[in-house]
Amino acid sequence: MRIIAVGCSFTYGQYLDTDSPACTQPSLQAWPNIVAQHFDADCVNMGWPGGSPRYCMVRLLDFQFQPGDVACILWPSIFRHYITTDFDRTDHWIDAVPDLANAAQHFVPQHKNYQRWWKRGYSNLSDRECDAWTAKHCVRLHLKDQGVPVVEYSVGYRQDVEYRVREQFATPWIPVFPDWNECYIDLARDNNHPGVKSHQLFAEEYIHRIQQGILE
Amino acid sequence: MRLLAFGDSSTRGEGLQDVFNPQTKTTRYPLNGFSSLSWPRHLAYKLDAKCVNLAQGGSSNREIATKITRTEFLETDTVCVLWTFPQRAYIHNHPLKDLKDPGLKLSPWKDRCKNWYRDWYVDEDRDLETVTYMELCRSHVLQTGARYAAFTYVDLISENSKLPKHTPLIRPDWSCLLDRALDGDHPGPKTQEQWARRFYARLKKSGKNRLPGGEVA
Repeated sequence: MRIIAVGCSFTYGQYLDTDSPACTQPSLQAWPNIVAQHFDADCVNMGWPGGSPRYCMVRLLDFQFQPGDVACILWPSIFRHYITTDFDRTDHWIDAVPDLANAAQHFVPQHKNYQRWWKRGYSNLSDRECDAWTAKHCVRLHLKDQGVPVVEYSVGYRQDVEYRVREQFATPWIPVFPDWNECYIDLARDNNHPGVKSHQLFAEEYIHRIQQGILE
Repeated sequence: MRLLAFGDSSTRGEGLQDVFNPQTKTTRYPLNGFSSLSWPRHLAYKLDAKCVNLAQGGSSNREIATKITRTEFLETDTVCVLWTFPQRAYIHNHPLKDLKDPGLKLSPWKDRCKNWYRDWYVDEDRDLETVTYMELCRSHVLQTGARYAAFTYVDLISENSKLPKHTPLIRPDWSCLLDRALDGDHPGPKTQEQWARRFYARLKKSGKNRLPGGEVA
């Protein structure tokens, strides 16, 4: 059995181990690893800071699944975007948060280019919603074709944490973590991301759903 | 049985003689919304099916995919898609389940879109989006049990990108059109017939080798 996890920094476990924003590999304290340990399974954590629904889709469509794999998705904010690029055009608006491994850029609302993109009318709430829907629908069909069971949740935000861009908490067709604020009980070293105890609670949600829906 | 066709102006039959007035250079469609010389009409005739042509001029692949995923299909339907230029884009501007308010069509050949293409356009990303939509729509239609066949009449842009096997080019390149429509831009009646024959050949082949879920071999 393998746990195949994908999502954003909340899946990667950013700032759990270090104060630095630099990313080398996902944290062993992040929820995917806790889920994998519970089932004595291998963990493939494809979460990455800045990840978007489109990023999740691209990674899952590319992934070579094996029998016994379980996909665990923590869908990121629908406002984020992911765009493949050749990195040659440094003057381009697409210069945002580079993902060198996948020749792409993560586009997050906090970035100045994202705000220009938004103000120019290059995207809007409906556009983001449709893009996220496409990514999610595509992933579900793909996983169904592959015979891979999946547990999905969406990211929500702790309401007392101030974000520069206030976000809708989730897409309406996928539940936010049940009792999200009860799960989000501590903060990581940056005082922004979920902490170690929160990740344990996130993991319990996934473990419960896997036990209920997949293993029975 | 219904034939549902999706695509852009080349699927709707723009510029063909039954809808195009060469004097005024304007197009007027009949009430059913498409040319009787368009490939879906020819194909529906061959299949003895009712033709539902949902193509629209200037559509991008994103817009085509949105239409496909919002359409209710029956198991007895045949769904044919002729994908278009990856370069075209579309910005949604409507709530998810309400398509009354159309989005914004973007084309590199329109001057008013030049800022978008200057600021935001990347070949590889357009290709990724196109291939994603091709995969999505195929899976989406097949899960309904309907038959599905797709071609594209424009290749991907980047050398590193490849079309999925289930969606090949319908012709080697634009210069290989058998003829042109009266507007000089779009495929002419002979080309439309040829494209209908290509779709028909795939569908006929699938009669013997129909894959699970209804995909055309």
